[in-house]
Amino acid sequence: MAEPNEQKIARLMAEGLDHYGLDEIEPAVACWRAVLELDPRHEVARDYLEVAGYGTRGGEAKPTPGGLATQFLRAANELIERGADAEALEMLDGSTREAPGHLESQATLELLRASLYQRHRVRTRDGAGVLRVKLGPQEVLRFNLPPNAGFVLSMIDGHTSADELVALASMDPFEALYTIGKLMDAGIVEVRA
Amino acid sequence: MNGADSLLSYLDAPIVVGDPDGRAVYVNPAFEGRFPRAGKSALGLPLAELFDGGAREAVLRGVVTACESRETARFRLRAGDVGYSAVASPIASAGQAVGVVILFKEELGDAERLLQIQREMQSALDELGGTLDTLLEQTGGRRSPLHRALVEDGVRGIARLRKWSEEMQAALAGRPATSHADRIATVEVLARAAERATRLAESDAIAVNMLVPSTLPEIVGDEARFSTVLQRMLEARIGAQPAPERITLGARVGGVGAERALLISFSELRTGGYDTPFADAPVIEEALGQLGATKHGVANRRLGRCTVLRLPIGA
Repeated sequence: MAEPNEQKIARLMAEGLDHYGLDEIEPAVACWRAVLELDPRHEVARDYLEVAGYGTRGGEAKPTPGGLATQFLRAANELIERGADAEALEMLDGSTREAPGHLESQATLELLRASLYQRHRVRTRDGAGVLRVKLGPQEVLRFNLPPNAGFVLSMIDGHTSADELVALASMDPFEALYTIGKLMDAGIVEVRA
Repeated sequence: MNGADSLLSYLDAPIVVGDPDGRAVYVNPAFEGRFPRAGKSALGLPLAELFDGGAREAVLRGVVTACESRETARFRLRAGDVGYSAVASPIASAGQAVGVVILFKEELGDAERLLQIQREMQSALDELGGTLDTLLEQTGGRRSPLHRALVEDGVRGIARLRKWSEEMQAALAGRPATSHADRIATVEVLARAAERATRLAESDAIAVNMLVPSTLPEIVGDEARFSTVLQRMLEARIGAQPAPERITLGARVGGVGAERALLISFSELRTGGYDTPFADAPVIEEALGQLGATKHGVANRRLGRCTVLRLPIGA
């Protein structure tokens, strides 16, 4: 069954941000351009390409990281205004990797991390909630999880709380809890009743 | 002295044997090695000529005392940079004094003694550190976060003790201060600042989160100043009006290579956010400058506001 356009666009937008967050600029741009092929009036995709310094067609020169940081920060602030904090985080995560000395972006990224961390703590009952995997191994495999998520998932045993997992994961505590939150969003993990 | 020669030659302690006239008739290899004026040519020389200055006086006095009293005489002397305690024993035959044997035992100086103590302490610290690591691995985690936190505190304490023990070793050995001396143990300082802020904010119903990984690189600077600045910045935000609902102290590394730096953040979360970034006092700005930190603040009307510090990570 063919994927409906709306769903495909949402997936491509998310994939683009994921690529961007992993510093994979070209695949990110390709995703957003693919969105415009499906919906030439898609404003957010146009925005992303514009702030990335790439046109909607291709063949342009890659802009410098320093010049991009301010544009990405502006776009991230617009996302925050719309309540799309996770998307803003992905965007700033990528742009600060390119321009780590852009302190305004770093400060905004830190504010987002603090805010999202707290939200995920609430979701996990202040970190005390015990996590369990909702799906079977075969179903989980379909998600093609990135290594970090796979690692965190492998530690979820139905007995260990979110706080304990964060402590045991030996990762940045934000990354660990944020990954747990994403696994919950995807319906792979839940807090045990 | 043939029989004695074969035995005394194997002793590590310097030994000289004098005849009734006070001339050297035997010196062992340890003596030759320690006393520069000694050697094969020392044989037959007056004992007084084997030593310099105050050491000569001490030896002669000791030999006279031993011979006259026919009892062992103990005395101390210094040759070069080394201190010795010496024992002069008369050699008697048919009730007559026929010579004297002097044994020298090297004394440990104060610094050497302290160095030896430091080595013992270091060894105990290593054992304690290993025990805590094992404890953390085996029992400190999965079921008891409190237990884990306590053991982690212990591990951090041991790390600090090790650091200062190494510092003491360098000072005693006369080496310049190690690279630890002006380095800041960032995780420990941040943890202490967050703990203090949590206690302080309790009465104002402000929650404090700490978003710091378990390991961070050390930075160069004055730890006491760094710690004070962090605490003052946290205190100022706890007392801010309108008050934040939650303060998050964050830290992570940003950038690679020459751009690699420690980023420390103070996020004030509040429903309704803030219009302007937090304004720190001039004294804080000055102290941050002395630490080599750059600072930037942002405000957001939905989330709150954040001040980020960027501190270069020294080589």
